[in-house]
Amino acid sequence: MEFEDRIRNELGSARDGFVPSASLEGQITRRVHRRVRNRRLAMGGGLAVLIAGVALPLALRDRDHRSSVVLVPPPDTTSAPTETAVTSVAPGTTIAERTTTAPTATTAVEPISSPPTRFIAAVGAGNEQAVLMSTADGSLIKRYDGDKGGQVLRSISFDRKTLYVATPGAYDCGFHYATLDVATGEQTGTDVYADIPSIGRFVLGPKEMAWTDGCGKEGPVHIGDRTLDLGSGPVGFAWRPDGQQLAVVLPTVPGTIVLVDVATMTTTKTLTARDPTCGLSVAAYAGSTLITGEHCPDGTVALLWLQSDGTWMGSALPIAGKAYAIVDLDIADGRWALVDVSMTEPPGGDVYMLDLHNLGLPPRKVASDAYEAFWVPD
Amino acid sequence: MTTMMSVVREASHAGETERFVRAVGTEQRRLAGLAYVLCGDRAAAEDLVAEAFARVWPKWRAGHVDDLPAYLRRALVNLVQGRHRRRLLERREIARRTVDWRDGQRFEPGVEMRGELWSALLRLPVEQRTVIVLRHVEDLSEEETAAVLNVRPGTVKSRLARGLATLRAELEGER
Repeated sequence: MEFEDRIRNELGSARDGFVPSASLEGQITRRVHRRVRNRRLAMGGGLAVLIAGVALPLALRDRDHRSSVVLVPPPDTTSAPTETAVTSVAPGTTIAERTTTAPTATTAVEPISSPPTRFIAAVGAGNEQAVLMSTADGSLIKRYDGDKGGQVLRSISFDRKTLYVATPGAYDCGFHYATLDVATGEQTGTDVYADIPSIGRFVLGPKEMAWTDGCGKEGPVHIGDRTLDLGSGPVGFAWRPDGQQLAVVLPTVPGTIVLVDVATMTTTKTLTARDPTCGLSVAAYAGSTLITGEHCPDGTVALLWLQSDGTWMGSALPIAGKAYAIVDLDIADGRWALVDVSMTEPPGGDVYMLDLHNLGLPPRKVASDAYEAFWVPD
Repeated sequence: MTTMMSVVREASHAGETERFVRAVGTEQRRLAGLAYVLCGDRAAAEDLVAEAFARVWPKWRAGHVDDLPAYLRRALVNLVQGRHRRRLLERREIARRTVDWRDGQRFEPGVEMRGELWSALLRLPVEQRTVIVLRHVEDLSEEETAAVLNVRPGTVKSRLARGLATLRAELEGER
C-alpha cells in the first residue's frame, strides 16, 4: 500500500492545492447562460407549436400587448463627452498604459454623418419573445410574426434583406428556419435548411454560409462541404466582407477568436484578450478590420480592434453596472456599432449604439432585454 | 451567488435553482482540482468544469439528477475522457497537414512544475489514469468508480492493476 499512499498524498495535494482562478464562477455562469439561451431558442419554437393551436397568438400579435420589450428614449446628447480609456497593447500581454485620447478607427470608410436610423432587435424570453424593427429614438416600426409563430430570431442575410427565424420544428433540436422579408415582414421561405441534419448558430457571408451544429452541441465549423474542428463549439462568427476570412469565437476559457482562411479551411491566427484573465466574446468586421468585445472579471467590457501590426487598440465602454460580456456586435458603414451588452443586474442584454470614430461620446442605449440586434439599411 | 441566480432565473422551481447555485459555489474548486489532476492543464481544467456545470444544468432542471455532486463528477470525468480522445484525433490531423493550424492556440499546458509521479500518471492512457485517480485520490470504491465510468467493477480492477504496474515500472526506470 505504500505506493498507493504516495499516489494519494502527492496527487491529493495537487488536487486540494488547486485554486481556481477568480473568474471561474463567471465562466460557469456564462457557459450556463449560453446553454439557457440555446434552450430558450428551442423552447420558443416548441411553444410556438402549442401557441399555434390556441388563441394566444392573437394576443401576442396584438401590438398593444404588454411584453418585456423596453425601448429606451435617447439621452440628452448635449452632455459633454466622457473621458475614455484607450490602450494599445499586444494580444496576450498585460494592459499597457492608458491614455485619454479617443482613438480613430483604422478602417478606410466613406465619410458619412449619421448612423442608420433603424435596427432590428430580438427581445424577451419564452412566449414573450418578439422581433422588432425600431428607430434609434425608440419608436417601434414593425413587429415580425412568422406565419407559424416563428418569432425567434437567429440570423440575417448578408445584404440585410432577409431574417432567419426559428420555426415550430425547432424543438426537436435539429433547428428549422423560416425566412422573413425585412421590408414587409412577410414569410418568404419555410424550413430553408432542411438538407442540413443539425444546424444551430449560423451566419451568412457574401458567398457562403458558416454554421455549427444545433442543440448546444460542441461541433465543428461547416462551410459548404468543408469542415474544421476547432476543439470547441463556436459561439459566434463574423465574415470578412471579401468572404475569404471567417472569425470564429470560441468559448475556450476565457474566450478566444480564431481566424480561418476559408479557401484552405485552416486556422491562420488565434487571438486572445489583452489580459489573460479577460476574454473575447464576439466578432464583427468594419471593412477589413476585425473588431471584438472584451470582457474582464471586474465586470468591465471593451471594444477592441485589430491593427495591422497584430496589436489591439481598445476602448472600455462606459456602461454603468457590472457586465458579463458583449454578446452581440454589428457594425454599419464601417463606423456605427450596435452593441448588445449582457449585464449582471438586471439580467438580459442592453443594446447601445456608438460611433467608432468618436468613442468620446457616451454609448446611447436603444433597447433592453435583447438577445440579437442587427442594423438594417434605411 | 446573485449572478448565477439571474442566469438560471427561468427555472420553474426556485429551490432547485438555489441548490444548483450553491453547488457552483461549493463544488467548483473540488471539481477543478480533480480535472487538473486528470489533465494537468489549468485552463483546460477550468474549461471542463464550466462545461460540466453547463451540461448538468438542464438535466438538473428537468429533475433527472438525484445526487448533484456525484452527477457533476461523472459529467466531468466523461468530459476529460472525451477531450483526450478528441486530442488524439487532433494530433493525427495536425500531422497530416502541412500548415500548423494551431499556431498560437493555447491547447497545450503551460510550463508547470510537476512531480515525477504526476508526470508519469499523465502519460498513462486516460482510462487507466482516471481509474487510479478515482480510486486513490477521490477514494471511491470499485463499485462507485465503475458507476462513474459506466463499466463493470472487473474492468476497474484490471485498469487499475495495469495502470499501477505501468506507473511503478516508469518510476523505477527513472531511478
